[in-house]
Amino acid sequence: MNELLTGILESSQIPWLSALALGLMTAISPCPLATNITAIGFIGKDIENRNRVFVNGLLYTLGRAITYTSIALIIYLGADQFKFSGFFQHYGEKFIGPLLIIIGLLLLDVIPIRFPGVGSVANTIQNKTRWRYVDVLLLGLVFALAFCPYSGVLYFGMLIPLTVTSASGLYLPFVFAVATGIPVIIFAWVLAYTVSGIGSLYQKVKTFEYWFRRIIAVLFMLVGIYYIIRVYC
Amino acid sequence: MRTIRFIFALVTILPAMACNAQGNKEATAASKPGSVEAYYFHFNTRCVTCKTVEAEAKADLEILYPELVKSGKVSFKAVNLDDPSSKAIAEKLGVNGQTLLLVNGTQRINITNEGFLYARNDPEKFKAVIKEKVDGLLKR
Repeated sequence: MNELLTGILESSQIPWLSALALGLMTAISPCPLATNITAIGFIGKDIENRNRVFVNGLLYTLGRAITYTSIALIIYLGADQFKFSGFFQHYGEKFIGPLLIIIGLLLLDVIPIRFPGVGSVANTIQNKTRWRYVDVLLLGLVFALAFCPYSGVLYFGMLIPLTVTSASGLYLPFVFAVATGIPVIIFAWVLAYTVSGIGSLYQKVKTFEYWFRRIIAVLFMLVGIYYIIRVYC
Repeated sequence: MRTIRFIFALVTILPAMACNAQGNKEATAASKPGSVEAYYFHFNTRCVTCKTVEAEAKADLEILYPELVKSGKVSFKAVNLDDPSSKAIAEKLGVNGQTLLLVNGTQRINITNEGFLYARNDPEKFKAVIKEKVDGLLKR
């Protein structure tokens, strides 16, 4: 798969196709696997509603697109590309570990603070507020900032030069973001589809969902610890 | 409040508990005429591809230029940018992030992209890129 994408990247004269190949290469590389798994869990947490899972996936991708496009825009407007990329490569993954642990604790209701968008397990199930979709958007936005070494090179080294040469290239980070989000959306949807197919009774799925959300919270914390060990050692 | 303090402590202490400071060999940059220095700049966090880029580049130089490597005319240095001792060389070469750089005096060729594209999927192609660039620099 990677060979195929590299081939497309080499031979492509079409910028959006290159952006798509770079996004898919980022998505399938083992490098952002931990964040992808967490994202799949978070997107799939509304397991009883497959459409909701799909919308979550789209919003997660939109969040990523906002980050990627904003960074490209800032560089296009004159920020020092090398310093900027150095900053993100240096600090991009450092904040993600502690953040994941905090989100996990918030989800488990250990921290008695209410943030818009990050509802507790009980809260999110019971309340259908206008914030209910914001959490996934924010997750996409933040996860896109966590550049791992490989995605950092693909984004800053290859996509940004393609993007910032002219204003007409500024749509490319959006294509890149969509490509990085596609596998996550597919997996989350398959997960939701499979689980909702298993539960014959609505209540069973509800119970599963309740526990699934708790598992997601623990997953956030475990991945957070993994990142802390990985980044600071 | 106690819970918040506990979480704050957890988030602050975990990195310290989990890790040991990692040293880095100090690198110096003093290009001699007719020589090529390859630098691989990286951070503490290193993915599989990153490690492969470093290993392949180093091995390729040793295979392609055994005599020059022995005599020190072609050299390879890995530099950890998370190590404070790397600051001088990184500033001198204008490097901020992960980079594979070939240096001959004031001439610098950045082959990071090629490294990340080919080191794992097509090592022979990566070797060919290194040969082409290093040969070019040696002729200067």
